[in-house]
Amino acid sequence: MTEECITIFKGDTSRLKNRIPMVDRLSKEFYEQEVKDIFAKSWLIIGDSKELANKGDYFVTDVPPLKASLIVARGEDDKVRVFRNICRHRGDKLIHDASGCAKFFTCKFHAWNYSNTGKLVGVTDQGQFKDLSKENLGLIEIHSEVWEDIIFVNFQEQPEQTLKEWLGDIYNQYTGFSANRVKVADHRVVVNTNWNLAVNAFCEGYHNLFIHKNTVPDYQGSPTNPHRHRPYLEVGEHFGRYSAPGNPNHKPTPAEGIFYQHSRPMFPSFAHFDMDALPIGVNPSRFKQWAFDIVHLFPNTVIGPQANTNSIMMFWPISHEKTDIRVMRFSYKTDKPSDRIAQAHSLVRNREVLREDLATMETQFQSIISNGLPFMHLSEQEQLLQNHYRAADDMLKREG
Amino acid sequence: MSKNQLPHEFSDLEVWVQDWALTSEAARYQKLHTVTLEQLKPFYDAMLSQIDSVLTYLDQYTISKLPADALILYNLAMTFAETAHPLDLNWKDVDFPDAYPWQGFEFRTVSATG
Repeated sequence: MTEECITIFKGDTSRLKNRIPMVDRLSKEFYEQEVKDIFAKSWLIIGDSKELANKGDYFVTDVPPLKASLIVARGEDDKVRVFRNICRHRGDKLIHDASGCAKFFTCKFHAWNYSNTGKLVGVTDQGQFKDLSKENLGLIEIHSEVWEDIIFVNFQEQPEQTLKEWLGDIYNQYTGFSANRVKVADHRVVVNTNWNLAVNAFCEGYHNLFIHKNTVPDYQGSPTNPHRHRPYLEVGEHFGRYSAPGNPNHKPTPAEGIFYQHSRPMFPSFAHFDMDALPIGVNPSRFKQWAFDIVHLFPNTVIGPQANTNSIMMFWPISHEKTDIRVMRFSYKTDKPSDRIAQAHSLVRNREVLREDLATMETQFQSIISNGLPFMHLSEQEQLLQNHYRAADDMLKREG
Repeated sequence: MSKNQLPHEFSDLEVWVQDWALTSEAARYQKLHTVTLEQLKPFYDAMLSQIDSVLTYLDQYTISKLPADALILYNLAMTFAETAHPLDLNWKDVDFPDAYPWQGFEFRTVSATG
């Protein structure tokens, strides 16, 4: 007998709306408001500290909506800091390469020199400057915090909330979830769509029965869960999360089957996993056929904890109609050849799934801006989208 | 004829080395999207029939200490891992209908090998 999967819903849903008018939200003017009220005030994810294993390691990244280039560096004191990538002399970009390891950063314009903790340590021909105080001209630091290796920044002069307050209950629920992992993929793609639609595409599982039929036709659901309902779904002030139901009858494809006989199963095969080993925030309902979780960290990041892998997907608006999508995937450290080969297979399957998701976003954007859709209608399984617009409206101080 | 590059147990895969033993995800992706399904199939068939023994063979070593011939075999297996899905999933082409254009992807360097 077919029995529906009953979703466990958690969190305050009293202010969620299931009909969202969209066309105004996609305008240039609305976007300018979002930059001011959301991106300039939120805790934003910019990368992962696994890329900064040693003192002096740094990478350069940017925050497109705020037009900011940032240096993310592990200083000699082992602390990770985030600086504006700007020389304090006349404002040239300080670092031009993507990453590296250095004790000092030297501007190529006039060779002002900074330590990797941000102090200005050398000014060429300093005697020619009147009243220049090096102590006050260190690199401009942006508030940052590292949470489970994920690096957050907040551009406010004094953030209204600490990261712990911003994340709320989930702050302590993911301890060690991505420990002992390394980055295995880093994909970028710029899509002609609005960032809200891009985030939304990764915040519900309602679509996967249809849109992913080419790449992972049977990875989720089961005869007792034909519509692939989420076993667990929760909304919070600045997050939403759900667990995805793995299909116990998933039939591995020929190559996939052989890879995972030699190595650990990964997407789209989901092995039974020792749930006791998971932090309480991962698979919160301890659903037996657990595949993976999706955690939307408002505004523009989705992380995906999974048994042997995890991902960070960032959706950065470049404008109201262009989004820079950055996907980083991590997996367990290994030096065993078949493990790396199996990981490569898994991340390629993920990449192809992503290409199916991307295909919907541009056409959806075009439809909505043609003013052809009065409302977007959202089901209970799409509560993370409802919550996204609730959180946005709270920051924009609008009724929705 | 060029010298054998693979461990002798896998000499019948030698014919694929030049075009398919690729060393990066970006190169394998490019390869997949610039061959036809008919060109992919013989490589897929050859690798699928031996991948079980290839993995067993490679696992005698660690990635950081693969001998030169095993490293080429590893790269061949990596290309297989990243190009198997169109045939594994019975696609009619190396790509699927309505896929987001493959050219749009940029690959950044990662810390893990290969």
